[in-house]
Amino acid sequence: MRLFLILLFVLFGTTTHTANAQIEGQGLAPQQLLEVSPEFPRPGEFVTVTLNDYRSGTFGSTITWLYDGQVVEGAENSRSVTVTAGTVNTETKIEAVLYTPSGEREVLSTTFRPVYLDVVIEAQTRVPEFYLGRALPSVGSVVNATVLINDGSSQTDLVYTWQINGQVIEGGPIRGRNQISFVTPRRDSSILSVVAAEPNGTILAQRSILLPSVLPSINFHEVNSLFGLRYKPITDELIMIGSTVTIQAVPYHLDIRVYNNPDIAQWEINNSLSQNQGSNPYQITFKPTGVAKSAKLGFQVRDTTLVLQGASDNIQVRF
Amino acid sequence: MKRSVFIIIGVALVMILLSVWIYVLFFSASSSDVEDEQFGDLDFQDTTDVDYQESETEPEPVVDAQANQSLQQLTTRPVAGFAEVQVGTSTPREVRYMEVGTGHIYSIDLTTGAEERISATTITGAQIAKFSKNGQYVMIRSGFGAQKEFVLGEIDFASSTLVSTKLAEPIISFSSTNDNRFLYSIHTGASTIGKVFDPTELTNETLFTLPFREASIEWGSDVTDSHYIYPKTTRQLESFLYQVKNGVTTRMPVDGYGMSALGNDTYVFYSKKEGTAYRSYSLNISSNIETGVPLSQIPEKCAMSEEEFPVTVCANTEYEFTELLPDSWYKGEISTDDSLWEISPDGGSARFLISPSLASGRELDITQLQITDDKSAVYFTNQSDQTLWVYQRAVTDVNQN
Repeated sequence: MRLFLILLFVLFGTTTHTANAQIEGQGLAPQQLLEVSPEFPRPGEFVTVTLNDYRSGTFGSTITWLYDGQVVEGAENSRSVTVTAGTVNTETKIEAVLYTPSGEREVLSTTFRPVYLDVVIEAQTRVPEFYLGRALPSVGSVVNATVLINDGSSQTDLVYTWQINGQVIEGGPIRGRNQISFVTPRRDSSILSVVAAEPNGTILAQRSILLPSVLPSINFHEVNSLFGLRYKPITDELIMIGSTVTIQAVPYHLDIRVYNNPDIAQWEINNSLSQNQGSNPYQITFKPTGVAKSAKLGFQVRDTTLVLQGASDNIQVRF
Repeated sequence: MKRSVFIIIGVALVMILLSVWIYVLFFSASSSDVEDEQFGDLDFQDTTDVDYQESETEPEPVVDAQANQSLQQLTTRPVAGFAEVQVGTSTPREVRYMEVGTGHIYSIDLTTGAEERISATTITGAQIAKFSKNGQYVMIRSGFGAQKEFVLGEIDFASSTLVSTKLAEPIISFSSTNDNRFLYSIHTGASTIGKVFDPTELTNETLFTLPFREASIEWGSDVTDSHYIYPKTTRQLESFLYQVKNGVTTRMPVDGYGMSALGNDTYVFYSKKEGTAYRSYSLNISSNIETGVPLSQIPEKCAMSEEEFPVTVCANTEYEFTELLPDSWYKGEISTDDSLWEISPDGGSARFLISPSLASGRELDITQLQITDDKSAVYFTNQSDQTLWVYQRAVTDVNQN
């Protein structure tokens, strides 16, 4: 008898549990019926909450949106509402109150807590000293990425998962290290993603950015021995005033390793290789000879292993 | 005629010509007048330059300080740095500046307009200089690349020299404070450290540390003022604005592609890329209200005073295209014909001040703007030739603030 009762309990008890599981699996939790975009907003950012409830039981329902308990004016019966995220780490609650045609009331709600997750990109490429802007990644160059999180706390042991074009970097999540380095992929742009989570696995924020990869370029500048580089580049042609002129080729976004140790760094005058090179391969002192009234001055710098890691250009010099 | 007669006449002619040549060679007068007559006399008047007298010392240029002009070019030399100083209450206001390349320091008396060299010490390759408020000290960056050096100089007025001390740290940016100290930043492996330096004690103190290197810093006028820091600007990457005040770093609600900014304790003025456009905004920090600013202003071409309702002056060109700003301006690739505009404190309106090309005939690329303490003048340099200029704000403008 005792064995029979145990069997009955096991049989019906298991059946009941399976049924509950099936009910939960068929529907979505209330917060999943509301989609928040962006999922991890910044403070003050516009956030769109969309009702994704297409259950037959709620067909024809009226919808009222609440923002922290206050009715959102003008959003009556809209399937989405746009609100402004609050200040750092303050929880915002959005509710959608549904009244079905049969008079039933259902409340769906979601919350979000805005934090700043800033990704600072620092490419190890070269720009001239006077340039106020930032160096950009170019193919094969090393990029340092740093995450700065401002969530109102001073947590330093967050876990970061980095991905570039869907591939996880560093082999998996890394704890406490908010800086990584990687090589710029061979494509015009890549998607860099980072997820910051607490050690217990709760995701704090995530961000994806478009990482550009530019082609290095060259500008030509006149050099004055006393005053240094002339700020304005030579656009197409230079009209010489004195008998000689010193010109510097200024690469932008060239890998620093290539800049410091180029496989090819050569000047050409009228398409002929110039032997007039001093200690600085990026400078040439130009002195016209002969009867010609102009010359084409060109420069190229290049890495022979990664040929896209290089640049060339030319200007016309009139004298 | 016989052949022999021809020969005799020919020999005789040769002898006569030889005689004439010998006479002219040995007995004729050799005055320059005679020689000159052998060439064309074009009947010029006396061309002797009687005015020019070569002197060993270069005459000091004089700025016409009495001229009733709102815009004046103060120097013809390229300027590495400048400051308006008033040594004492009874002494006249003066502008001190350092010449690019030589590091020589000059003073322009703003009352008389007389210019005087107050330091003849050569700082080879001087590029950037910041003067202390009292004009006694100057921090200098000289040289390029690996030869770059940083020097602290103290002006010795008695000997017209600069007593210089080489600074060992790899300084990235620097500025002076109202209390005659210097703010500067350095790079470590992966961070930027901000410090304050006391030139009298030769001591320094760390103000902040940020975990990235490529930082642009807009220094406040005092150690306790707000300092604004952001990753260097480019249209292709996002930048974020951080405020450092009293050692506390706060993320400001300002970010964007191509973003750069300046500000004080109450307002932040910034511009950023929006789609293909480039737009400017003013943020009231306490109310968190953001206002769109008329015209596209590059913040690096603006200056803001320190008051609660600041005076903001910007140099602006009616850019034909803004989709490449500000990167194209950083590269020097766009031509500019700047005018000066004054932005209202809330940023909602802009008032035209002056067009240098209309007033002086020169097209300027204005940068390094500085508003004087009494808001009566705006100093700036022309990026193209690094000359120093001043714009005198009208009295009514001053009274409004």
